[in-house]
Amino acid sequence: MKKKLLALLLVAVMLVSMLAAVSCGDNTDDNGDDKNQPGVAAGMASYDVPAEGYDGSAVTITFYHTMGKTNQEVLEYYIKEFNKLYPNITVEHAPMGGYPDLRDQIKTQLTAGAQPNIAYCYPDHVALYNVTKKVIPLDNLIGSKIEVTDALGNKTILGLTDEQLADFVEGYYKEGAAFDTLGTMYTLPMSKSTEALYYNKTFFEKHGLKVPTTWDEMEQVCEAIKKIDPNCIPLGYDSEANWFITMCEQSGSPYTSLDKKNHFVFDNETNRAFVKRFNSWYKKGYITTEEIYGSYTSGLFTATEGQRCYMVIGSTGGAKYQNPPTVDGQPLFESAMATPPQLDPSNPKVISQGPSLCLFESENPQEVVASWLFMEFLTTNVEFQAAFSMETGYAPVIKSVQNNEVYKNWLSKANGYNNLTAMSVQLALSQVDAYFVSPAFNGSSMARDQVGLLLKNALVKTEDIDAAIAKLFKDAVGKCKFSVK
Amino acid sequence: MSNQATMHEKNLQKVTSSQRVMNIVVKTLLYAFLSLMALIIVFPFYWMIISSLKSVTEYRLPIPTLFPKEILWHNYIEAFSAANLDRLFLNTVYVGVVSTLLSLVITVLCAFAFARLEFKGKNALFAALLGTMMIPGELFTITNFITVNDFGWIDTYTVLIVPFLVSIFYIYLLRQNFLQIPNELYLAAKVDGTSDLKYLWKVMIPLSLPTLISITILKMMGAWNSYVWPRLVTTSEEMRLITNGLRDAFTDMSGQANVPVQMAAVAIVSFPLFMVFLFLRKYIMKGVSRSGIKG
Repeated sequence: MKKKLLALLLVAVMLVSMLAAVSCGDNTDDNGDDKNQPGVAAGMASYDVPAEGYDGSAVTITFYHTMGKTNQEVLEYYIKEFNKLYPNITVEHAPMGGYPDLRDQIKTQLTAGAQPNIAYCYPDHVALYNVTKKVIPLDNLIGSKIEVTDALGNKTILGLTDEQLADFVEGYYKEGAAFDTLGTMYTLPMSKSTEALYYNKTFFEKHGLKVPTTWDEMEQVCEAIKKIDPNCIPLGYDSEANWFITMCEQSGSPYTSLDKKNHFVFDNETNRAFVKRFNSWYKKGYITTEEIYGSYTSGLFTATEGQRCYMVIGSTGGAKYQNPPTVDGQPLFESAMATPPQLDPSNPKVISQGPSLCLFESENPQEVVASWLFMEFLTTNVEFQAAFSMETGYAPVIKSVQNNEVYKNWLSKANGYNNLTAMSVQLALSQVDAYFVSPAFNGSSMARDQVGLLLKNALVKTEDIDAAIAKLFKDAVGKCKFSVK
Repeated sequence: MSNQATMHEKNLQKVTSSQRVMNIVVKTLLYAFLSLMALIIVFPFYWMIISSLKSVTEYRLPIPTLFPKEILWHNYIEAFSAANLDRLFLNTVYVGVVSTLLSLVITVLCAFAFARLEFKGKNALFAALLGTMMIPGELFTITNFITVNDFGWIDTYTVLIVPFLVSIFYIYLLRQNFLQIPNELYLAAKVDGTSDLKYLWKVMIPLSLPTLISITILKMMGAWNSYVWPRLVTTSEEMRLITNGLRDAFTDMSGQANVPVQMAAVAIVSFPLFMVFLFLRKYIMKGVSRSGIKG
């Protein structure tokens, strides 16, 4: 009897704790939905900058990023440079692994109020963080005219000057305002990459092929290459999600929207049509993608035997992986790069990627202002932007870097044999007017995952294509909607 | 008569030879199966080793090579320099040893109390402890994080050691083992005037040594392999453990990893654990089988 009672009691305790856990989950979802979204607030979210600006007090700020060891060496050098201007600001920086690790770390720390002061971020991350409303809107800091005097006696304003604002690459800067319809700035760009078409220049020249600038030309080139080398897959596209999103932008058809009642608008005729077109390419053996191939398609591009590809559309950040293979130190071919194909080459659209920086709330307002000064330093300092670009192969976010002599010299060494990195930065800088960004909201990350999956699954479908594609679109929208319920 | 005997002998010989054939067939099949299983187990290790010796280009070939065309030993040197492996090693060993020792003390005392001592609510308390095993540890992650953050423990050794000192599973394992030791020994010891602690030290621990060794090994392996918690509660590189270092150090900003160097680091890190298992595997098996519990 006693044991039965004990067993009943334990079952009851278990049920109560389960119900409590479920109800906790519901609350979180409610909070995560409408009211706390930046785009839904009645007015623009703002941060009250302390009237004294930075008062020179000693503060320690933390900066989370995803930099590897060599990139950190550059950062550490410039932290010392920053400290020459602001010796009382101690910057502690910490690598957090990859971007998903960084996001998960900050997400957890936000629940405990233990977030860092500054962090690398992608727009989707910021939309997620902002469910807690702890990401600082930057507009008041950017526009602040409060005077600041650094340790060298230079007087400047706390915010960005008109020259500094004009110096940002517009497409990169605008990414910081992709979070609501009011254009509230939450991030500043740090360093950027984009997508490029890598091609085997030696092969193209040998067979008199023209580098495709449109998708129609791409189809013709793939057909021609397939005739020359029937065993090859002419084109590898690394990111299915980027492909889908870029095609939406190039077609002028909807992908996602900031309208909270209808975020996921990618199920439409235009989008289904381009997916169907690429499905026919896949059937003809023209294309593969990272997910279908099982790895970055640079593996096919640099293959020395067996199946290979002659074109890759991939990140400029990974340019070094497209350097041609060598035998006895001699490159087997010459690689080259171009802007990815367009639907309308007179109005090109290429995706903008790479980290931005965001600031988090802190109990001490001086930490926030000190973090802003450091963020401003990293994003507007020409020497740092140049050094970081040369180290990472990512494009600088300010235009004036291109006038830096060291940087110019580095760019001039670009070649298609062993320095595609510099070439990729040249290309990224040459297509600055073509960048676009997608709206960021709580759920935009899911939309990106789903359209990538959709495209991958649609490419390999063989029967009843229209019905299969329609179902894939419907399922993807359904999953996106479910994720933000 | 002699004819009959010869027939019988012949029959016997037939039976024996058919048995022998059957034996050979069964053994062949058995060994073929075991060899296949062994291959399946060994293959990931083989893949790790050959990948650690390839170039990135070779690693990314559409048709993977089963042996490196060019053996790159310098991947191992690069692994050390890229990941600061020595510091990660030291941290992991320190956390592993300290947490294992403290955990052993707690486990032994708890298991002894639940196995031998009589006190009010013993069974209810033990049932409640077992009940906690039904809740996945991941559910506690956020609450534990908030707690240790409030304690100011973030980025310290304390936070890597203290939260996982008590393992109900190990207490249960050892308690089952202690229960198998006859009560008469305890009573005889009591008659001789032995204290509980002395009995525990002199009788129970020596008799349960295999289980304790397996607990030690499992705990060490747990510390060595832990990933999520150390990742969450350490913010500086000086406090990171080996698993986090392996994950962080080899991915560039575009998210692409230098897999050969990463594999070299994984091989280096797996080596001590591999040796531990190689030399102490009989204790792991014995400990688990003696307590009458499946792995």
